[in-house]
Amino acid sequence: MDKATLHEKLDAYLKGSLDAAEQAEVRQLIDSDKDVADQLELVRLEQELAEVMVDEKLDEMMKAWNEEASSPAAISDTAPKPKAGSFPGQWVMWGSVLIICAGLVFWSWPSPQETASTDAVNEDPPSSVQSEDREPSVDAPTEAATSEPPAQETKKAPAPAKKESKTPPPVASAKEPQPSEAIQQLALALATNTRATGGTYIIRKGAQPNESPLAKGYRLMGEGKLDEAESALLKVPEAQERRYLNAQQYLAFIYFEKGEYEKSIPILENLTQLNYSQQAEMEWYLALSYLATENPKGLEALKQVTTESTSPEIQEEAQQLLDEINALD
Amino acid sequence: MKSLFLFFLFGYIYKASLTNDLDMPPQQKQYSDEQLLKMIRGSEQERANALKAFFTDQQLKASVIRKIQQKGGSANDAQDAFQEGFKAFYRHLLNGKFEGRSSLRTFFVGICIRCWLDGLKKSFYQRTTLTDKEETLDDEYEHTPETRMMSRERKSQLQKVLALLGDRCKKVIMMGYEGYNSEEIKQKLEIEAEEAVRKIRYRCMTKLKEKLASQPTLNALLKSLSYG
Repeated sequence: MDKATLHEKLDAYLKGSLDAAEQAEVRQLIDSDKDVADQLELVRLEQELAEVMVDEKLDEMMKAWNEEASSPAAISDTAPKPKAGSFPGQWVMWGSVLIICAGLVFWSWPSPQETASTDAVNEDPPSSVQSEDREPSVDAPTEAATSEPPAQETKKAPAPAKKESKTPPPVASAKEPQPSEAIQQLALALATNTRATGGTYIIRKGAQPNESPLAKGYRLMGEGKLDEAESALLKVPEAQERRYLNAQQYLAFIYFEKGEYEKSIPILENLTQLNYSQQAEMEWYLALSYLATENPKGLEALKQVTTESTSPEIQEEAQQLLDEINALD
Repeated sequence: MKSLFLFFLFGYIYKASLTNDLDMPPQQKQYSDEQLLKMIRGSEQERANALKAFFTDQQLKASVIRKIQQKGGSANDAQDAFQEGFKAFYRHLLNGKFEGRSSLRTFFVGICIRCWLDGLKKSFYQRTTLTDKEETLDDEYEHTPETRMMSRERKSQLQKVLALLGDRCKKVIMMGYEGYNSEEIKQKLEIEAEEAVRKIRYRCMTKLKEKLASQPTLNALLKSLSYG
């Protein structure tokens, strides 16, 4: 059997598409010949590589379909709403509304003279139709700067923020933001929409008998009761080293999610130094916390995430933020 | 003048309704399971159409989200599970894991639930081992195969390995995985002989092995990371 044929046969073996006799024959070959065993590893790698490529292809396709889909997913209250810019039907609808309004004004205008009526429409346009109901965009933080209260006064509710449900970034003042303020706004926009406590939901509901503070905090965090979770986690004694660190990490996530960045920073600094679990997430939250509080370490930390994070998704998100920050200059 | 205005107004609304431009969801074409399976084994375009029909089926999506929410997941978790499940679903179809013992849709919902449970278990164990694991699938989904989720770290390393491969190699490998036969790959990639497809694939991987040997760090990382 030549090498290319063997390669193909090993591929079929891994996929389980050989019949029982062939499967046993190949198994025997693998067990008796080290070269064949090595070849099998190569075929396994090939399948994994193919899987990654197919996943990437599907990711692109899903992204395109999501963008293409014009109907809002009426399946969940947290489903992302389509942006006005990518939703032509809405423009048509608003166009119709405008035409109807203009028509009504035109229809009810007392003067029969055409010039007079058009002047009247120009003087009193139905501007509210255009300005209301437009979804604010996180891509335009300066636009939101004039209407939103300061960040620390508008902390998010304990319920986990959804990445899709973008809200405008809270800002510090109504005047034109300074460069550092603009960076802060960008970071806040991202931070308030990042669900640090995500993935902590457990199926089992309700308190368990003899629940430890850590277990209780974890459960409450999963249920979105961040204040109660915080109280429980603060009770984990420092002497229980492993559990204490665990509790500290959850506390950092909770503080981050509540927008209490000054509290999340020291914990995250400590845990990232220790190289605790979920290092990539913690480095990312730390960078965002720095930026959100105008800490001078922010930009450096962000750059580090863009180059050194072990998570490609986080790297990508950080790079996007860095690009937006660079575009401010 | 007023008549003229009314004429244009109704004309505009009529045209908009005809072109379905107003706030109406586009009509989704419904395929039977047989049609979908046939399309998924068909040409690249047919596959894309079948996958799109499945992915954009709002009823199916709602069903996945409802099931996961019933089990205590959030809508956001369910959205993630839907996307991950979709990829796993395609893999299972390619690997012949669908045995027709349930409808494709039931099979898909089961995979999404498994993906959600796997993600849950993963983040759960990654953080702590506080409680015993609880994972159940309803009887309806008993024929759903196990899903295998690749860890972020392994995926990241594999992406680095992929960069060592040429475009032609990538295409041959991917098409082989997607179940295209040598004849189809030959035509698509304009390779002269069918036999050459097998050889190209083998040569690509052998060269990759040599390249990996010259990158001991990456090689060692690859070997140390397994599916999480």
